[in-house]
Amino acid sequence: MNVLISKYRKRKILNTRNYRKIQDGIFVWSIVIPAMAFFTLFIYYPFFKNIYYVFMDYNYIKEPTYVGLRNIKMLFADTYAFNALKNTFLITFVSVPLVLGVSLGLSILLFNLKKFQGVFRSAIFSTYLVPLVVASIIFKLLFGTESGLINSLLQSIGLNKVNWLTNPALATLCIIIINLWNGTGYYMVIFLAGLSNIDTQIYESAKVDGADPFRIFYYITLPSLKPTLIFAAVFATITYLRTFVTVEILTEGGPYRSTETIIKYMFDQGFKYGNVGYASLLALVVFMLTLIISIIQIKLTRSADD
Amino acid sequence: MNKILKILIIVTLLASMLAGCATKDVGDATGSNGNEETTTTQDETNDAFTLRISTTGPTDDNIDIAERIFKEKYPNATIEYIVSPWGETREKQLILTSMGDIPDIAKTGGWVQEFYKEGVFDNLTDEVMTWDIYDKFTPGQLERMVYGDEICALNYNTNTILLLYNKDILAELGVDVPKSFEDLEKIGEQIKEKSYTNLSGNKVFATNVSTHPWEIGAWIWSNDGVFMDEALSKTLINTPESIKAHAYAQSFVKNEYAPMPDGTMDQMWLNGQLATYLTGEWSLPSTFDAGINVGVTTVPVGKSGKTITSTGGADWAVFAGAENKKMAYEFLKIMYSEEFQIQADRGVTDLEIYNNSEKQAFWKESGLLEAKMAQQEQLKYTKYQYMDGPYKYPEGRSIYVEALERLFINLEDSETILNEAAEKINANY
Repeated sequence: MNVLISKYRKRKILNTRNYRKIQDGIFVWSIVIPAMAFFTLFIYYPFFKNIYYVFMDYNYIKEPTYVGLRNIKMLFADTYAFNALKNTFLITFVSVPLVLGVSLGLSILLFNLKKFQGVFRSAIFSTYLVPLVVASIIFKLLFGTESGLINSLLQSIGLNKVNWLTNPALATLCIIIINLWNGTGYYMVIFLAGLSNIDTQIYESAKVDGADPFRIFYYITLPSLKPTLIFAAVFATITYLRTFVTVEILTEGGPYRSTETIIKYMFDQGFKYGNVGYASLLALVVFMLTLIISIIQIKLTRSADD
Repeated sequence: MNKILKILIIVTLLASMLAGCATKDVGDATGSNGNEETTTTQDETNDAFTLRISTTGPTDDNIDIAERIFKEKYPNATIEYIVSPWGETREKQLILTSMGDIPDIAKTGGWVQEFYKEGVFDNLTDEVMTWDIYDKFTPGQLERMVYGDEICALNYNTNTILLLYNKDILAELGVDVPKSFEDLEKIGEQIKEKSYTNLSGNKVFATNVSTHPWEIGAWIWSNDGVFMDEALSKTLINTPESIKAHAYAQSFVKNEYAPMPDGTMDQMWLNGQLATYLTGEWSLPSTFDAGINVGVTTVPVGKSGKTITSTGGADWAVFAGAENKKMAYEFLKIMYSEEFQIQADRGVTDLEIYNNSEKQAFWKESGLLEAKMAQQEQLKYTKYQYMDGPYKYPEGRSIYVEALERLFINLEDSETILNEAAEKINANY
């Protein structure tokens, strides 16, 4: 009898365990399947389809036709594409350190502020909430050579007006200024979160040991913020490599293609000129560049850490 | 159980992949645009049907009035609008075509010939030539509507560039309304001599030049320049006459009679920094709001003694793969009927309708009469600006825009710049 009862109990325990296992399985898969379906449909499928189009001549209307390496050969002879890449790198490599530097500086200032920290934080962050399209339209009006507010102010203090949007270098600077204005609030909040995670006892010990503010920043704040800095740098690089809206509204890529970015060029090729295959190749180039730059950034930061 | 779930997920993923890979049927879209039979013939009164229209809004272009008239005739009709902003309409129609989700009617712009060439739009020639409106189209309207000898769309609510002038500035300068580009030059000289500024102390200019191919047409054609040969097989922007015409426009910037075009001309006009503004009727509402004492006239005559501008407005086309082609024609026929044009605020295509007393009374009340009359006159002298949407080589537009920017912003030598641009463009024809 006892043996029977024990067998029954064992089976019951096993059944319960199996039941729980199944329940857990259903729960896990019910979460995983939609996510996997989403990624498959909206990330992996378009990605592989994009690679497929690289070898095709396609304009959204006719059936794609295989053209082999024609699009790749075209890229190497395309001076406009290289010019667009150069402009994109210029905007990115100036914007990233500038935006991150200013954001970090502001976050340290605000972190040490005793009063009105919330007010300033909200005020600076609010610039990030303004859609880039709106910001670009407003800045276009501000930067106008003859009618813009900035030139009016410059002239009112006796300075000459500046051709903000018609000088290639200054037009690029205008785009960087919008990046700075729009992005600072976001990265500042991220750095503030990073700063609040640093153990205050370390700062107190350093002060007791007589460390000056610069040494505290260099030896304590910066190393402690490293993970936040890596994230911010990678994210900012990816963001600015994809610069499009600002350029489209502020300069339309001009004057004479001096602000045309690779994404704008890709958009024009794909949608305006019907060269979907070539635009797909440009998209792949942007993807590869983003990947390489991100890997280099992470490796460099890690090696510095070591 | 785990195995079953694994199998399920694999099946789901494969299904989603295959669904995406499924070959779309573009047969309709790429089909020939000849006079094929329509896929559906509608009983005019009994059968319920849906007419699908790709446009910018259910009330834009007074399409709601056309819908009302159409439904009076076909009570069983349902109109479905596929709405997209004007700037994205081309892309929307491209995606719809690519997906095989073909509407019946399309509001189009500069991409008509590009789509028609690929077989997206229907050949309207035989149909439209029997309509009353056909004989009333101006040469400029017709040029814009055709691909070769075939009608691929119907120009609608045609507009063009006009000359808006700031009456207060002209009065202060003591000059008349400019009738020629030389008059504009004189205004420029006078402004410069007097160092004339607006109330805020900002510099005032005689007029504006543009780096937009559609807008620059007025400067080039009116001064003997040309853009393309008749067969649209070669650009002629570098002929001696064209170079001269471009250089003449450039001289306005060089002499500071016109500001460097930096995309803020609207703002300058509204600030009272332009004595005259080469723009269209669309600039009038904001001008009225800004309280500018504005007058409107035709574009001044150039050195050729002519005034020629680009034909504008929207265009309506029928998709080659439309399900209700016959009804689509019927709907468009209404949009070009006299009944509709008189009722519609933004739907005048026939220049004779401008003389309708009912319309004139309405325009007078809304302060638009002078502009409409100037537009009626100017529309007699318009041309199709191929360079604004060069469907045979779309990149040609950006090459030309770059050349215009070099001319009017960097003030480079017009002959060199236009020769370079023409060489690049013609190499692709």
